[in-house]
Amino acid sequence: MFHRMSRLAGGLVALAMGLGLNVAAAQESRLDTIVKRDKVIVAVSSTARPNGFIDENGRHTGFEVEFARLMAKALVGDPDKIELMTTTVDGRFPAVLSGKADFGISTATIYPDRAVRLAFTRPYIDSSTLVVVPKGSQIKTLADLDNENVVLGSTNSAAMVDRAKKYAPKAKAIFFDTDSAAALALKSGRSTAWQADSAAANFFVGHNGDEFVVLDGSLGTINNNAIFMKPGDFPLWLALDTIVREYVNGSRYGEYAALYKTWFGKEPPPQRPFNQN
Amino acid sequence: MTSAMLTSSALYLAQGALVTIGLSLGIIAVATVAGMLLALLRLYGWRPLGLLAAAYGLVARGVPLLVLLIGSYFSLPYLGLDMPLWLVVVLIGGLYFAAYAAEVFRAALAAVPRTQWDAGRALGMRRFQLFTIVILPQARRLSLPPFLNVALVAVKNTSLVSAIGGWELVAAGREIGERTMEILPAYLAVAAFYFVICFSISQIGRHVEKKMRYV
Amino acid sequence: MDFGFILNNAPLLMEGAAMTVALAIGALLGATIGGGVVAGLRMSRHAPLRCVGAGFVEIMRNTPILVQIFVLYFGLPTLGVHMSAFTSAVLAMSLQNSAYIGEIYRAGLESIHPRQREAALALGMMPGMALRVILLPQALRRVLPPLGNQFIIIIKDTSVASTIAVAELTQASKLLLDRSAAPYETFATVALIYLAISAGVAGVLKLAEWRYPVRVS
Repeated sequence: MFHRMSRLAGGLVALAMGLGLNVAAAQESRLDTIVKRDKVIVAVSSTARPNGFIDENGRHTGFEVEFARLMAKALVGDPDKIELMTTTVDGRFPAVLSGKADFGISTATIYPDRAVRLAFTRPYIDSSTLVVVPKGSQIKTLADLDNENVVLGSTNSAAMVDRAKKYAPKAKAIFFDTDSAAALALKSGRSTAWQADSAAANFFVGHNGDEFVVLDGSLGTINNNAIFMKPGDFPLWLALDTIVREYVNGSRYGEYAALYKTWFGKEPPPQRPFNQN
Repeated sequence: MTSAMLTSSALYLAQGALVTIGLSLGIIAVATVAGMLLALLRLYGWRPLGLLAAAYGLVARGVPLLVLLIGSYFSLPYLGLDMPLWLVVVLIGGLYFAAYAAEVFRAALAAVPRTQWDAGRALGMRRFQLFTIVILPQARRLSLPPFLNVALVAVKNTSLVSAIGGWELVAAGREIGERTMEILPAYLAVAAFYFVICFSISQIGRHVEKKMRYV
Repeated sequence: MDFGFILNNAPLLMEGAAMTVALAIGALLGATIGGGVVAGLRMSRHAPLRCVGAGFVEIMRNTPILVQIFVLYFGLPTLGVHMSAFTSAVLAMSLQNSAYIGEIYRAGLESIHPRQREAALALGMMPGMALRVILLPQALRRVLPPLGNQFIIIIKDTSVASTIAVAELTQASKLLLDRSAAPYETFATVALIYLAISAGVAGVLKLAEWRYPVRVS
């Protein structure tokens, strides 16, 4: 009995110490935590081909997942010292805000409204938006989208919703949870056009090229996708931002270019002089 | 799709199904025990506690489970409680469905005629004895089909864990579907796995139900 | 915590909530009536009808609503059947919940001792009258709490309609979350709205429970 009591007391002391340590840990930068842990925890997607998905062999890969490994290589010296935390779109921001993940690489566009609550590094890739229509469709150009007979499908993101409102205010816009559902809507005739991130649109047309085409030009502005993290941790932000710069425009550009080529089949934007960076 | 790819996809889904089964069993177990406690509090407990249980039932049932999961899993670290994901899911999912199970048990217990209590007491049975031997077996008859409903809804709601970094059957199906951009066949395969899991559970329920039928 | 942007987006959320209520009303009506049909089939004297009822219940209850809604919305157009997203969602939810509610009705009816029916028939009642006057009133009272459960599940299942592009509350909240990156504020607000809708329905059922208590005598 006494033994059990003392064990209980020991447990309580350990718990109290744990709580105390947590308070202390909140004050040190997450960067130190990562280095001490010797592993990074990154929030990623597993349902966004080609950025993050599970390949035919069951391996979690994709451009963003492999870029996350490059970040791990720079932070703790080994691309495999990484824990991938897979969440849906609903969970990606809470994952970093709560501290469950150190940072996230999950097709997040830098968006002014978001920057108030979330810290972004500089972008690691640009994304543009393409429009896919069935072959032989009445819609021949992007200008044709603004018509009462058009049903424009896409995923339910702020950027997509704003673009639909701006470039096709007369069209009926419908929004789905995932790209695959939006693609299915186009295939089944539920929508007559699909606006999608260039990577997803190109992948889809690559596999359904006899039935669907991509319209010339991109819809709206180019957006920047960036690593996101909990705001307020300057040392971690500076480290991540510096590493991203080194990959996309600095000493490790070669590795970045190779990765880019693997997933998108073309060269990334060339390195720029520092004063245009 | 080649047959090798189909086999590997089926194996992948089967792994997801195992996770779904594990989480479901945990949630149903917690929901049954906690739900019975809540029902007992509401029917026979000290009145303020009974009201508290009723309020809990209203709030827990009214809030989406997705919100509860995201809210709890990502907030627990602030309280210094770093529980593994599966435990959070089993506890939160279990307590959530306990509110539903409590309603089922409460309805069933209340439907047992009071004369049964009187008769038992007249025979000199203790309250606990009376409850377990006389009341509970009769209440089970009314509660089983709706309880099965709750259990099946619980099984299907385990898919919400993918929002907080968990992985199970639907997540596996979605991963296959997004890889190939062919979501409908993947979802149909997922539905087939769910059917096997849920049908097994409902057959167990049916079997028990038959044994308890009035003759 | 900063709820300013939520207030700015209140119209978006309110439109979503209105759509959620519309979906829920449609599905509640469909499932309450459909459940009666299912229970009737399940308890029929004719074996083939019982089989149809049982088969319907097993298929509807044992597969996810997400898949059912996808099949109705994306699959039926290939067969030449075109329904709007709203109709597809209401129909899918009505069908699945008819199975759940049918089972609830059946449990209620079967929990009433068969002697009651025998007694009613012995008093000269026709079977239909015995059902209407003796069995149903008792059964309905007994099933009010599980029925309330299912109603609340229906309200929250309406969120699945967002997967087929119905602009309801969950879709609105996902958009707001995507724009603002403020998960806690968004989720808290949405939870409160769902709670208010569920509490409304639970309140109506509670009134019914008080008005028609289970007679324990």
